Amino acid sequence: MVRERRRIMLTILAIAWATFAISTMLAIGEGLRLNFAKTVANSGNNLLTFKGGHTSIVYLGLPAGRKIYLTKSDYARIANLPNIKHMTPVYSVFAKMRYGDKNLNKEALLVNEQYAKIHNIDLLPGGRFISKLDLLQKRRVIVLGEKTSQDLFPNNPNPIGLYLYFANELYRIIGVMQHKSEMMGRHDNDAMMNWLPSSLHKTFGGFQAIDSIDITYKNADRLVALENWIGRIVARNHGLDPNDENIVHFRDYAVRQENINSFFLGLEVFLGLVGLLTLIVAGVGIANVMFATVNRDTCEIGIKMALGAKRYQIIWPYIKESSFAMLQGGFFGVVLSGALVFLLGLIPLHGKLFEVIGRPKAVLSFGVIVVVILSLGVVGMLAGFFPALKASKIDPARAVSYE
Amino acid sequence: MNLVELKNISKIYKTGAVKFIALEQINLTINKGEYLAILGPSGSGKSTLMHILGCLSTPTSGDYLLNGKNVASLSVNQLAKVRNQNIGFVFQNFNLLANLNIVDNVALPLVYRGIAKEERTKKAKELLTHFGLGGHFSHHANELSGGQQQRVAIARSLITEPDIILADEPTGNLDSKSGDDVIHMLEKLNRDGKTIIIVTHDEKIAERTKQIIRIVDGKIM
Repeated sequence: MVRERRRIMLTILAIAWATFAISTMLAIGEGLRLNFAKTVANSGNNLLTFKGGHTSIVYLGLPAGRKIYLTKSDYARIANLPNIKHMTPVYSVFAKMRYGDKNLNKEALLVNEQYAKIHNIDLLPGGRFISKLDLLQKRRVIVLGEKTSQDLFPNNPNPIGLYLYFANELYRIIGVMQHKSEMMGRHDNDAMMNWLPSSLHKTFGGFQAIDSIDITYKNADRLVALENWIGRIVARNHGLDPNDENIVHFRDYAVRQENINSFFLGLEVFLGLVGLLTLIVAGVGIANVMFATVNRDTCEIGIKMALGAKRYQIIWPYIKESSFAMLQGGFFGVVLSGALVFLLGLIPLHGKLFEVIGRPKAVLSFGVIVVVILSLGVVGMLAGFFPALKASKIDPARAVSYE
Repeated sequence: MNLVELKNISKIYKTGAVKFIALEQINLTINKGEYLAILGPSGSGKSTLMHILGCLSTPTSGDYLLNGKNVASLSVNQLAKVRNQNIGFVFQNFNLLANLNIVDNVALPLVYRGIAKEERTKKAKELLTHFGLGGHFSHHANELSGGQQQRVAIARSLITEPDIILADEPTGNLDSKSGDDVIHMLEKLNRDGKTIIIVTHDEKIAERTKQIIRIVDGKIM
């Protein structure tokens, strides 16, 4: 009896360890998935960007391989399409940026007021993004990216209201971007960018083509149709073959987000399976203890059968006992896992890598706990069921005289 | 109507190619209120006959009519129900559950019948009091003498008010005085109308019953 009690205690410990393993693994997987989903979403949700491509079909006597540049006319017609939520033209400019004695080569994007919504850009308190009025009045205002602000104003975290020179023109700083971790940015990371009103693009002279158009769409199911319409509009505006698929280059971020999400979901499932394997080993331990218990109880089972116990009345106590052992071990395991997840969250994550990928934290979410409880329940039931089935098949005539 | 009717009952155990005939063409009729002994030496088949009579095992061939109903080919759960409703067992080793007190031991058959705890406890206590164990309700089996344990077992066999009491060597583990007490108790139960079947190898015990069925090599003599 003492030996069996010790064996059950050890089994409960094994279950606690297995639950700890499965919960922690799933929590780490869940944390990674949520972190990367958020980091990727920071580049923009339902984001589609596109730029001019080149012709790949000979059409109306013109050769293949001609470069296509998006124009204001393209932009205006595309803006009328349904399924577009936000839209901005993007002109890219490289120029010297100067403040005091600091003189840096920086890139600025000339965009409209919707860019901040498209790319999930939040600003430091007191700042704002480019407005419609800025665009209409062609104000010389600039929103700084996080990195530019740090480079130019290392001792001033929020230089709103100050003036700087960009391409030898004076600009007033109206906003500074808040930090965000980001992957798959449109132009490197937004932290490296700066933004000006798109209506100023002519002041930079040179070729006036739109570098790209960034949009967010309303309905992902109609994305293919939207891309087809954009292709047709550009083809018609430029006198190109509408069947030429290369005249516009699309980058669909939702597909990339989905791929990354699928990868981390797969990783989470893998980690969960590793934990489940440990749990199954513990379940086998419980089953062994239960088989030993059934052997010990043979005479008692025979007596109960003789007194009229039906099959389920023999089976149920063993399933209850194994499930209870699972529950006890599972409880300790989840508590331990919760403690570890809490401690892991206290570890500071510094460095360039974490600025890009964010700071992943293990998350013992409701979903993870439900998966753990279900796994424990199923393994516990099975661990008790087979020994119980053996018990219910005992021959009562032999069992009543079993020593 | 006969309470028990065995028609051409045989029980054959097979181990690989080896066959062992434990009972062969047994025909037996037992009426309500009878008090009889199945007598035979060790290995004669008397325990096998008792297991069949108690629905603990089924015959290889033949019919077993209990209250007119053939129970020879019932399912496991149906047999459990028949045992619970129609048969009370008294075993040589008492077969009380060590982890239960004597009230819960006596009440156990009613658990399988789905009777509420309060009712079954009340009934168990009444029976135990009737058998002189009123002061031992909280005791476990190992805290009682052999005679007391067998009285608990008899109380347990009666709690479902069965048609038959099957007693397998009921005095086998008792001293002569306690054994005598148990036999007196069974005789009294018979006088009250219960059908009692004692399975024994002891001629003296058998002679105290109203009818003796002798069994040798699986056949009734």
